[in-house]
Amino acid sequence: MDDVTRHPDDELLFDLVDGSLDDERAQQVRRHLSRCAACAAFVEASAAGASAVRDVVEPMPAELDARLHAAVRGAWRERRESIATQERAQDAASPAQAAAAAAAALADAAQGSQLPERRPPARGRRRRWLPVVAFAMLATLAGTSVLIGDDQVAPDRATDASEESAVVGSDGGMPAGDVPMPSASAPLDPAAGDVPGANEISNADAGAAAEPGAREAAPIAGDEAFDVPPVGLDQAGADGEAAKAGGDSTTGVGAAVDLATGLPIDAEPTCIATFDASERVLPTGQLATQVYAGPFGLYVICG
Amino acid sequence: MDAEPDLVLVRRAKAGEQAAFEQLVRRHQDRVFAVARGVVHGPEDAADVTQEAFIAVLRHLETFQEGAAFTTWLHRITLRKAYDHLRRRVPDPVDPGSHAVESIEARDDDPFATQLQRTALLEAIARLDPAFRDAVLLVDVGGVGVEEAAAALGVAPGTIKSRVFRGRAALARELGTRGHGASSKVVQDG
Repeated sequence: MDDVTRHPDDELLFDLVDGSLDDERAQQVRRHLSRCAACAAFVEASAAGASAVRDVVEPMPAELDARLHAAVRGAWRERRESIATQERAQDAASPAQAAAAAAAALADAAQGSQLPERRPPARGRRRRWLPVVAFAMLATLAGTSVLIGDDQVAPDRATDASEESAVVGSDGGMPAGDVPMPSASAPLDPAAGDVPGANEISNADAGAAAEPGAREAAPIAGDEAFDVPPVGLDQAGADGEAAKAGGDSTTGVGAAVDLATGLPIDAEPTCIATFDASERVLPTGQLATQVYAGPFGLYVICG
Repeated sequence: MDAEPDLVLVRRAKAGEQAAFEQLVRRHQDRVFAVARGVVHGPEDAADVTQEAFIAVLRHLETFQEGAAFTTWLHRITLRKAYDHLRRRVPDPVDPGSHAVESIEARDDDPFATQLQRTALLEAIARLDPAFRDAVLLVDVGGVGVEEAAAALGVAPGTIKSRVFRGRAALARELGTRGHGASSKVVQDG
């Protein structure tokens, strides 16, 4: 490096300024800098910039500080209420109660022999994607999670374990494989009002669905959810559109994202179910209007 | 609680301790605010971004994987929120290129001259190439380590070092900063 026609690269110069080079290496680089005005000027500028930029950190102005903490306290209150709601729903969702709820759902569904027309998302309405454990549990027990509209779940659709899992937890973990989706293997005949599965509720399924380990997804409202990737995963930023997250070079503009894991969804999920005109109130308190099947499980769209 | 590592506070916040989360906020809010200002410039906008960032962290606390540094996650969210904020900003119909004029008021703990200097610095940061700016904001303002910044931005550590190094030099040129004692020491020792 004494030859001034060969210059240290940026990384080496960064390390020199950072003080992380060993003595011998640092000496070599400094010898070069003493003979190379261009590199010396570059290093000097970078060091000066490093010193200057540290001044940008300042205590937040008092008024803005107060506003921030008030907002944080408000958000904490919402979180606490949300958790309490989920816990109440979980407590209520014992196997017996779930079976009763399922029976009620069956009766409800059987009232009309004709399935409601699939309702397209309302214009201008933000669709909210929610992986909902409780709904999936209800679906599994009732066998009616899929009130199939115009598009049946294709019997030959690839149904590996991850796709069949209906539980998507907010902890970002893959769904528990213990809760099978009845829809993939039991296509329904809407015209006949046939809603199979009622007699196929198994204790194992109910138990698996209701096991304490199966976390209910926390309802996450707002598009900001798409902006927050788990560490190490990339995710497109929010763009206000349901399941659309744009602007990130690694996932591409307009990529849909699995809310629970932050992983991009390659294909637009297929709507496999729709509720009747009166929006379905989920155990979490959310109103569900449509159900989609994605690569990682069920997604519920709330109005 | 002041001395507890971030991960311990995160764990306690996940378990329901509001005080632990508030401590995390207090510990990091100034840097988050500074990173935000590096992108959105004005203090009000930066405060909004700061708020959005911490609320997003709170709402998604369960998704945070403890194998990584909390600051990496936090500042990555901050950058994302800041750029979203920029995209949402409605341009002035009369002068689309204008920015809100920041009013500077002298405070006892923040003299006028310092505020002017900081304003000039923020403007210089705003003029940086976005790749350099993000790297400088994460490493020099957010205090995120090089490896972590590389993970956050999805590039190699060497790339981060290069961007930070060049970003700093570009910043100095923008500011018209001359070399001072510290930088001379870098060159002259040995």
